[in-house]
Amino acid sequence: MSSKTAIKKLNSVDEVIASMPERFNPQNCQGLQAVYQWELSEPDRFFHIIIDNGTFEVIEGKYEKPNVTVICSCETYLKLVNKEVKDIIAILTKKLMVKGSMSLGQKLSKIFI
Amino acid sequence: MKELVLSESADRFIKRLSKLSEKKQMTLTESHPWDEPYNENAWLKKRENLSIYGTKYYDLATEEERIRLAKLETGGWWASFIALENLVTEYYMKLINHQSLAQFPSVVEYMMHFCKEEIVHSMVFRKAMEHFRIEPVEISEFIKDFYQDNASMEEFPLKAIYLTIIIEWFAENNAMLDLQNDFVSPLAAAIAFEHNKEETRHIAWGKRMVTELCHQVPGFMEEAREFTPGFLRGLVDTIFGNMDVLERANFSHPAFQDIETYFETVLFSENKKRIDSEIMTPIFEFFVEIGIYHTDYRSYWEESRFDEIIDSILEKQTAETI
Repeated sequence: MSSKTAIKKLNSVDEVIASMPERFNPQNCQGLQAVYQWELSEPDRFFHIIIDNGTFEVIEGKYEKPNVTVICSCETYLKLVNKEVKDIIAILTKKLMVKGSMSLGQKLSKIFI
Repeated sequence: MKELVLSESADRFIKRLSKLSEKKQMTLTESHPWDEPYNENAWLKKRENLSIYGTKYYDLATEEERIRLAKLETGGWWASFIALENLVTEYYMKLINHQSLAQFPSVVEYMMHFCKEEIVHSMVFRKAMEHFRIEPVEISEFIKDFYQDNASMEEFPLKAIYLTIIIEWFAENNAMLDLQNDFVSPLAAAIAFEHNKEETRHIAWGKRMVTELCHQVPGFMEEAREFTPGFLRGLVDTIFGNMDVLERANFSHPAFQDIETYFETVLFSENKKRIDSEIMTPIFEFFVEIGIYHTDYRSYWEESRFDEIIDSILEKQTAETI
């Protein structure tokens, strides 16, 4: 893992979004065009990220047809980002749902490390 | 897209599978010992394959709870088979109706046998759940969604064929592993063995289709190399760690109340690692053979915790070459 992963604990969704430029790996999404959406609850927060050939843009609100959608509470999202819970455990305990393209879903952890 | 070509030997192979299907197929009423009396204490899988085996939770469970867990875990697999076999039948019949595979008449003919067999299988699993008095088990969203999200009608359906076959293969390997024990109910064992006879043909067909067409369908190999390890990890873990099964097993010891610790322990146990290896090794050998496993994509296998199984296959192959 790169030294980029040793970032401080992120305490809010806004902090996660603010950390994205630092965690973004353009070399892992060359030639890729995809939209990833987060549908967070408690409190509700929707945003999506447009990946376009090595660049990304975060946009508040829902995208009509995202390629991948991540659905969970804000609390679970922060735990996942801070690696306090494994994604499979969150899925099994019904705290996380990921819908859409499997191959694009797989790429997400390589785009934002 | 360039016209796809199926070799003459593949065509002959698929026609032979159709003939075998015509010759002998499972029936709902005749193929199993349904007269086996219901026994509440029957083991439906061998105890070493219980999800909790080899962990502290096995010691904390009573024998009655272990038998109940074996029944529910088997019911979970049967419910997953029912869901998958219904989805695959619906999807394959759509492909036949849309004439997506009309260029390959032998394939269409075999798919019709395949669908008929899958319909009977799901009826058998339903009947088995009724026989053993297992209420429907809630299955993972992961299984329910994957066709909707990943099986397109627009493209050549190799990805759907591939996904179906690896799921069936993996589930079959698990079912056969679960039943290698004299204590398992003869009816439960017969359900697995009879199912396996037909699934062996389905898997052979799927492997042949993938081998023939994987380099012809644009983008297939690259995508399969990316999603296969994560998909299989998700599949094996979500079937193995089922919340509905855990709740209905109704363990009395308070340690079972901490669900996150429970799943963490069970999914990352040495016993689970052994089961993963026994189920996945034959499938991964095929992936290595046709190039789905590729060193450029090794990080995906490492992240999915399948790298040790892959390494052992590669080592074995190297030893055999030498």
